[in-house]
Amino acid sequence: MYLQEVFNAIFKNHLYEYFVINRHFKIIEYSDEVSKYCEEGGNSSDETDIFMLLPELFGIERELQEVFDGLKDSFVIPYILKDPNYVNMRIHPGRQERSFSRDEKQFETLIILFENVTETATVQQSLIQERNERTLLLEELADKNRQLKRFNEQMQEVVDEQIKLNLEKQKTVELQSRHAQIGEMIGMITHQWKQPLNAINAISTLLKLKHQTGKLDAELFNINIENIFTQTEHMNQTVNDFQRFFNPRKEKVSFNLLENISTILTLVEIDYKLNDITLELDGDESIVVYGYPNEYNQVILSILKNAKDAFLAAPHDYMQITISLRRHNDRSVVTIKDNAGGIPDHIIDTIFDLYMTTKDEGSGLGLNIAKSVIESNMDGRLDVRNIQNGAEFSIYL
Amino acid sequence: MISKKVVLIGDFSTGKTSLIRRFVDNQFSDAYLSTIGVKISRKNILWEENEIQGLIWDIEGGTPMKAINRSYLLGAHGCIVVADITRPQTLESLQDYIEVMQQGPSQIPIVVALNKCDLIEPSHADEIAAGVKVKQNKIEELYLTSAKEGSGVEAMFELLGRMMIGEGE
Repeated sequence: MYLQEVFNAIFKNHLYEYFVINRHFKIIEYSDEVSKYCEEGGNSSDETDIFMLLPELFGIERELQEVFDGLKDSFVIPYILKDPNYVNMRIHPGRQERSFSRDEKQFETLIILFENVTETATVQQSLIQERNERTLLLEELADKNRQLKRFNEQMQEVVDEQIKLNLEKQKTVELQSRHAQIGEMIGMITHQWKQPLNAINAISTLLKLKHQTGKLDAELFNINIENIFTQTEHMNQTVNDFQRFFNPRKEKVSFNLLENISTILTLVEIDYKLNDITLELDGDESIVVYGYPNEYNQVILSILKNAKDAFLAAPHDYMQITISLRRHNDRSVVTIKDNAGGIPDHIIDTIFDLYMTTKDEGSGLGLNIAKSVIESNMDGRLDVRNIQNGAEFSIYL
Repeated sequence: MISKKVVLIGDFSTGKTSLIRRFVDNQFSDAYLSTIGVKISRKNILWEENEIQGLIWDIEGGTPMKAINRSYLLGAHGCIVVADITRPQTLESLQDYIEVMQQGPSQIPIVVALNKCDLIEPSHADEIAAGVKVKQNKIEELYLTSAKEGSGVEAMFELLGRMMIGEGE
């Protein structure tokens, strides 16, 4: 009885509300206001099953039993009574069984103490809330980053695909452009060959006639045969020049600029003459540069062709293209001037852009490739400006 | 009256409290308030002329740094593992929670709730559910739920009730 009095003295001062239960989980004692810790304000009374009032104990019968048997110390169950009331329910061993020795602890009762921890739990809840909200934000941020990364990857794929398509398209256009160049060169060769073929034809006719009339002597025969050899040699040279021109070298070499440009002019001059376009070449014949001679030639040819097209679009009495070679600050400068009227001001800044053309059947590739060849492949520079009555292209190498 | 203990577990902020509130009070609030400890709700269900007291345990959500308190799971008759269908991390955690439940002394019915389905297109939700089922092969029953709109909630608790009294499939 003494212990009971002490117990009452402590707990009935409302430091804690409490239940005391027996080994059958029946309530045998309780504090005055303990019902406020029970769900829905359950009414406590003697011999009531504790689980009816405290469902929080449901399922932990074994743990309670272990406390009765002295196998487990007191433990705490934190729970939310009614938001925002937080309660810690402490399960303590109560009165010890009289029949057991001090070493073998068995308890007749358990004491269930209630502690209102709303104040500390609210702080704890705020911290957890803050942590969870921060984690949610981080998750969202990570998700957005993933989406952004995925979007970038998709965009990169689109860009790569577009670049691939553009390269394929450029290759096709380049091929078409090359075929067109070849066709043009074949036309030029045809022009070149017409004269020697006509000469050979005339010589053959003469030789046949002389032979038929019995007037073909050895001297006349040899002179004319020699003449045929000369003509065929000229034709052969033309074909060799053509072959060399269209077989780009893969390695850079040193080459004489004047000789190189002369070769092109030899190939195209008849075509230009037939169109009443005068080609002039002058300058320092000792300039040697380092690069790809045939690619360089194609750049010259491309610029010449643009001038020729401009002349054909607006022909006049004195159509002239002048090519000049000079040195400037250890660099070679080749200028190609024409008097074809110049480039309209509104397009001159975009004249080297890919697919930029003013012609109905132009590919818009020639000058773009020309700039790329000079500036990317040979570390030079290709500029254009308008001069009086025409345009001037300058190649620095 | 028979009492049945149902525990709701899952990562934090997956909507466990909201699912219970929808089922017990038919209410919903958009405000997010983290649960700490456990909150027990009761709902009495009349089942074939027998009244069953459902004790529904809303358990503090787990985080990668803090696992759920296993003592809360003791004596449970059924379990709902909740994930937020919009958060892949919570879907990944499903298997861990299921395993925790299966490690208990007795095998109890487990239902998975993919909550917050109102936030995504239904077809997308179906795709995710199918993916979860394939990936988490221990899942027996899976529900697409929305505590906000109430869809799937009643049906899920009803199925779990049937399973707990041995009438489930």
